[in-house]
Amino acid sequence: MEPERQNLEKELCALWDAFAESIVESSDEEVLAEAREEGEDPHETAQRVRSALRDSVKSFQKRRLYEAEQEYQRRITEIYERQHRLPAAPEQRRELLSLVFSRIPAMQAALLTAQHREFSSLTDEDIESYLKQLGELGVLDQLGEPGDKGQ
Amino acid sequence: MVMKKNASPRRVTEEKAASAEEVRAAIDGLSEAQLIRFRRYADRKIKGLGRRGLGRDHMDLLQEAITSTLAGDRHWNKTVDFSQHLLGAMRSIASNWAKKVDLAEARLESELIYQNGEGEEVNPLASVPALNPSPERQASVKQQFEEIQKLLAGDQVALDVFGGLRAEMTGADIQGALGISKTEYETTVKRIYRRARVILG
Repeated sequence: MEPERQNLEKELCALWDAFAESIVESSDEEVLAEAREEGEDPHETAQRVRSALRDSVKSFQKRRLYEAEQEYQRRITEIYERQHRLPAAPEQRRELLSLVFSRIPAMQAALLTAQHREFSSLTDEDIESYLKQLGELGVLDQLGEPGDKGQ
Repeated sequence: MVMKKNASPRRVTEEKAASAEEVRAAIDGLSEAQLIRFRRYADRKIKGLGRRGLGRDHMDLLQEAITSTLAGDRHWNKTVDFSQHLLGAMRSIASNWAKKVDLAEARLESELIYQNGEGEEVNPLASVPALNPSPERQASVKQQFEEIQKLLAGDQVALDVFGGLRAEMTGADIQGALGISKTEYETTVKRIYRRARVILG
């Protein structure tokens, strides 16, 4: 930008900045009087600004909620997409979960007793879901390879 | 209401940080004068950014002040009046927006500068006319300044303060140079505004 052009623009900016700071120092009466002088309805303007500020809070909270939901979904998807080497057959998966519960009874208490469920009532999908969650927690790694059943 | 510049600290301890509910309650507690002051302050700050505002308006600045307060980028220390905090946040945000554009432009320009065969630095941008502001815009600003000066004729203090502001002097420097008090300076700036607003729009 040519120096003279830049200076004029900067001068104008400096002027507006000083005007901005001058209103910080103005009394409430001066602010209201100035608004009226410029044809504003102070009550209407104030309501509009308050409403915009409230909307900003609401938007922020919604965005936070959305981000939290996205993060939760991402983690859940990550858990389910992670490749755990689970036995292929449903019967073998059931055996593996039974092994986990026998080795770590606290797990059975957490997953079944607390939810008032019986091992025998678990569906194949339940079993697979539990094993994936246990895999995510590193419990299956403690048992060794799924196929060797800890032997 | 009087506020000291930069009264709002950027970082406070977590226990002093405000929640969304507290911010909402503070908004509900603002008076009409405070709300109008925010709107006018934001509007003038955006005008003070000029083209560095990148098309933002006063609502963008107001909303950013709230968002950055809630996000924790600019914590509201509740020992500070919320109104003061918000004005301080807007001042700081506007300043950062301006700095970002200035830095980006400086970086862009520095990346384009090269040395010619004789070891001299060549700035290709120096020979390129700026696209914005246009010559028409510049002529308009020049005319506005002349008209303001005419309106201030006979008010020497106002003319001097106006000259100081155009020279980008700080308020404190202008006060020192003219030997006027802070109150007199502030009153004069308001007087200049009241006369200039019809011209500046």
